[in-house]
Amino acid sequence: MINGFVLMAWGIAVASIYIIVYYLLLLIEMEGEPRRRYRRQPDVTIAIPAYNEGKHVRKSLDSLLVSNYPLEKIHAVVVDDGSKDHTRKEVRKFIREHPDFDVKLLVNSKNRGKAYSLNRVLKTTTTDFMITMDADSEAHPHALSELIKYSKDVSIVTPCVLPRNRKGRIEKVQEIEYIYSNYLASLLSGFDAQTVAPGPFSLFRVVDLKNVGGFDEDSVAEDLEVVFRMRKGGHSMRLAPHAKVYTEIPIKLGGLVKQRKRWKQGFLYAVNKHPKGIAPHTEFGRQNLMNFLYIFVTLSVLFLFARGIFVVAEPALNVIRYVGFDIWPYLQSMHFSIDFLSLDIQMTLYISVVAFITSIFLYVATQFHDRRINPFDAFLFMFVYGLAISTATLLATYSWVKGDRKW
Amino acid sequence: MVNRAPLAGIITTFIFLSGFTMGFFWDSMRSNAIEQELNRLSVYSTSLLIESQLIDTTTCDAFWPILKDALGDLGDSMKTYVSYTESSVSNIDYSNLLYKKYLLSNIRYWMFTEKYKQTCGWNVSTVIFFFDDDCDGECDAMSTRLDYLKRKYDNDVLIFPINLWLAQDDPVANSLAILYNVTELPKLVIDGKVFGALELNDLEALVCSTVNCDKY
Repeated sequence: MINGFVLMAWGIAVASIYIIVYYLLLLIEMEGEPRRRYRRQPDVTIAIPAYNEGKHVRKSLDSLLVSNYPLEKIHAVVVDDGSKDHTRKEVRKFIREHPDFDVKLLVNSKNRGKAYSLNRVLKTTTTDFMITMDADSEAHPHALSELIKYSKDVSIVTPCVLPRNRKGRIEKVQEIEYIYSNYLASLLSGFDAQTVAPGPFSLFRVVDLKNVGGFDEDSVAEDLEVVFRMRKGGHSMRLAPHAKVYTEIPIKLGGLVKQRKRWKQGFLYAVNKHPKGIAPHTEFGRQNLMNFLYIFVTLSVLFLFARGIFVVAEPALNVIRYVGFDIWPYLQSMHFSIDFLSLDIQMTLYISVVAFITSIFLYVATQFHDRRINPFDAFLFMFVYGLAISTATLLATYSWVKGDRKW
Repeated sequence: MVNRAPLAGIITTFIFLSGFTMGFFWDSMRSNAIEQELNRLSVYSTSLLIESQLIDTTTCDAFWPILKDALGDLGDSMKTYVSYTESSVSNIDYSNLLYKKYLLSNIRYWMFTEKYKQTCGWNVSTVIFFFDDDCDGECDAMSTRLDYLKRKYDNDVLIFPINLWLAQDDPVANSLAILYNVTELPKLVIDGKVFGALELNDLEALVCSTVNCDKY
């Protein structure tokens, strides 16, 4: 029988398979990376906004200290965004201990947000390039030189972001997502279709960034919104596949959902502000359309999951309603058997196709990063993790409709 | 360079067409398997019905294990049939035909059980449960309560469900409905006596008037 739920299920099936086939085709089309080099390595400003990052900021600065890029060409500016912890103390101590390293500390009198802090550095910078760095991130020693290597003809160069902390199950599953996303970004980079310049360590050409007005202080995802404006100005971006940066990721489900909600909300805000950013005549626009399709799939998955829970729970609720809580006869007569002929053929085939294509992608992505992943974590990533992302998407959509712009 | 978006559309269509082909193949395998199972049940139940004419008190012990296995098979085949019809993409007429085959076997088993009860003095409670697809609330309640009793008293409670909507053209099911004056649903025939919807306590008391429930 055809009803709304069946139609929605078919919509999800078609949309999700279309999305993964679309990305699979990128694999076939992937192009090599150009590597035009500088005769003389340029000076770089590294802007590090920090709000209550006393625990991490030192590690971020330490990671720059061991960079293979000439230290005299690195100019770090930490902006303390009205922290209430010992962030300022840690930075001052670092400056005292490393007089040969050009590190400055700016202090916001109150918490003004990340974009404001970045703009503060942008206004005063005199170098050709500026890197935005999160205070809870660490750059690989080669990261900076790799970003510079790819910056010759473009306005933004992005790194491969990987989790710094990866002990717990949630972190391990997120690591798969980061590996997956980096690989996807590397594919999109070949078509100049990347949609975000990750906050942890992205390089910007200062003149182009100033021309578009710097970072949007109203956006909850300034690293995404700025790309929309840079694209509008005709600027291109690249991914440096060997520029690795390690960032602190959420260790609890609540934190993960909150973070992803902010990202999705930032995307919706940017699309609302720049509707031409989803025009399909550019690779960037087509990629954003795919992001919209992805939002539809994730929201629908959540809706169908809720309905699935109800369908499964209904018999149990009926038992409680009509029989009471005497579950002993049910426990006594429980048995498990698998009858392949009783399987739901549509669901079985759909899951098989999605799992097969996603596995190909994951395999290639792990080769790209030379990392091994646990099959159980991969299973969780494919079939369970999406629920957390779907929840975040739902919350983000709700907040966006409400007009909420807070972090 | 290929135009990615339409090519992805073509590949997606191809994947779905392959899925449909495989789905129909799978479905036909499944309906064949279920048909075979129902044929086996049908032959077996006919054989039992004929054998029931030969039962006397001296052969009761020999029949009991046969009957027990047969009732187990009947329950399993019903579960397979239900899961099949829930996810099947085959046409409804064919699905209804399979149901009628199942129903006839079901009624033959019921007749045999009644005969066995009379001849061998077996203390078992038989329940014919009349329902249809339109009767949601009360029928769901009765179905849940009967399932509970079946799980609790195992082979001492035998339930023979008859979906009158699926069996609307079946003369045997209709004759039974007329015989027991089924004018509204749900209706239960417990050891030959007719009842409407019952609360769990009343239902259990009726069953336990035949079955020795104390041993559970």
